Amino acid sequence: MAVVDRDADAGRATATALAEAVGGAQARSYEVDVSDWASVDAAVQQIVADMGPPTALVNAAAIQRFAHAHEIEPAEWSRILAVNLTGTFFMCRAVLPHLMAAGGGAIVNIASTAGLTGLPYDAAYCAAKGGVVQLTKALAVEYAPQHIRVNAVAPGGMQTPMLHVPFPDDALPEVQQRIRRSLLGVADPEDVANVVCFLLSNRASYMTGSIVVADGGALA
Amino acid sequence: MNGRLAQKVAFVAAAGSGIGRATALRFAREGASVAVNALHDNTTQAVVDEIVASGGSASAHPGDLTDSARVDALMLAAGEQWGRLDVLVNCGGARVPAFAVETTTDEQWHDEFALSVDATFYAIRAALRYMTAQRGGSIVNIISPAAFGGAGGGHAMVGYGAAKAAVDNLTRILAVNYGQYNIRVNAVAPATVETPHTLEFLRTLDERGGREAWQQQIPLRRIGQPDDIANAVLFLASDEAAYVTGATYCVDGGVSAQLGSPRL
Repeated sequence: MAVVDRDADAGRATATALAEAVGGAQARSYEVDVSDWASVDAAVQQIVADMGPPTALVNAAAIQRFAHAHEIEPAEWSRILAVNLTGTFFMCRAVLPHLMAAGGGAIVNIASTAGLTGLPYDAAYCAAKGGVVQLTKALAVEYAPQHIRVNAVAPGGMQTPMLHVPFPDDALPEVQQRIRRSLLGVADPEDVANVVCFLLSNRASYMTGSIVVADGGALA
Repeated sequence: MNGRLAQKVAFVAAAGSGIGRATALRFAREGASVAVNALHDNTTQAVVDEIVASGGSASAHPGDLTDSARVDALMLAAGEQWGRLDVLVNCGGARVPAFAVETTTDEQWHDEFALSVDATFYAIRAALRYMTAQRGGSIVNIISPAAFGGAGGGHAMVGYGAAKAAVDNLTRILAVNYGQYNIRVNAVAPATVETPHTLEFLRTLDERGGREAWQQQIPLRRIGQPDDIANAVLFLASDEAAYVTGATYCVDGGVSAQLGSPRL
């Protein structure tokens, strides 16, 4: 498994934990900024040289900042789109030729319920995640004949550092509560990882272009 | 028995053939005790025998699910047999009559809804009596991409699509209302799957030499198999999907992600 992260220490720690947790697992970490094509392209070439061609790809890189839409700085808008949407595309672009050469594979993109519904103070993130949803469907339809399946998971609030992104000072309390609330509480990342594993596995071999929510019923 | 559904009891409605049968067999292989329902005694017993012969546990609960008193009695019998009920799968409602709207009778229209909506609601109502008391459970409804739109047109899809849309909506409403009991409710939407229900359609395709052309219109280039659907139902029924509720899984080879459904 190639662990890709902009934070080299965090990536190394995950790779080490993985190798320890799963006996015999081969895991390496790579420092990559997914929003930078040169960085993505070089890393994927290095991964192929080190570990052989990939057969599966999971895109989980994301950043979020709550702000009133009329106050978002243009550079910030661009950055949120660059990491969440363009980063997902760059990783797919770099990995797809290897999946095609291997005769098939599976991609899972982490979208968000923010890509399926409107959230206040979250325009850039909603737009980016909505883009991930559509990117997923477009790639699914285009690459299905090459036996490459592309699906997305749409989590709601999750127990990750992103849960603590602050709202604007004047954000309505009931809206803040609604954004972070789910029927079954806030998800453990493991809950979402289970769905990702299912979609990557052969058990989901007839699923492609499917956007599956894993939000404890929040969107329902 | 080990497996993804070890220690669990599952009621599979309309399990006599196709997706329901594949689901019942798959559940049994994953360690569940399976309460098998089909319309007739012999088809129900045949699935039970198949499960028992391969080392699984199953009981037979034949009967018509459009009769609510019958459904209550079946679910009670299944609950008494196994002592609990963890999973309910609703696979019924695949008659797909092809009538032009102008000539459709009240009876034909109501039949379609009875098979899809009434049967699903009755089974869920009866199962919830166990699941709310147990404070947990998983319900999976089999719907169709016809629930989301025109589905390639055709008279066959008028009542069918509307009825499956009702079940899709029921899925999300129940997910919201019963989340507090840790009861999860999800749907799986398959497109054309090779089952006895689609046999006639597929035979027509073959006679016209159209199967290959049909498959070329499916992104993954093949018609679905019952096991493809059973795998998704299994995932949603299992504890791996503990945080998944109110979700609809399209298991359709990519059909609902593309522009337009396969056409003859």
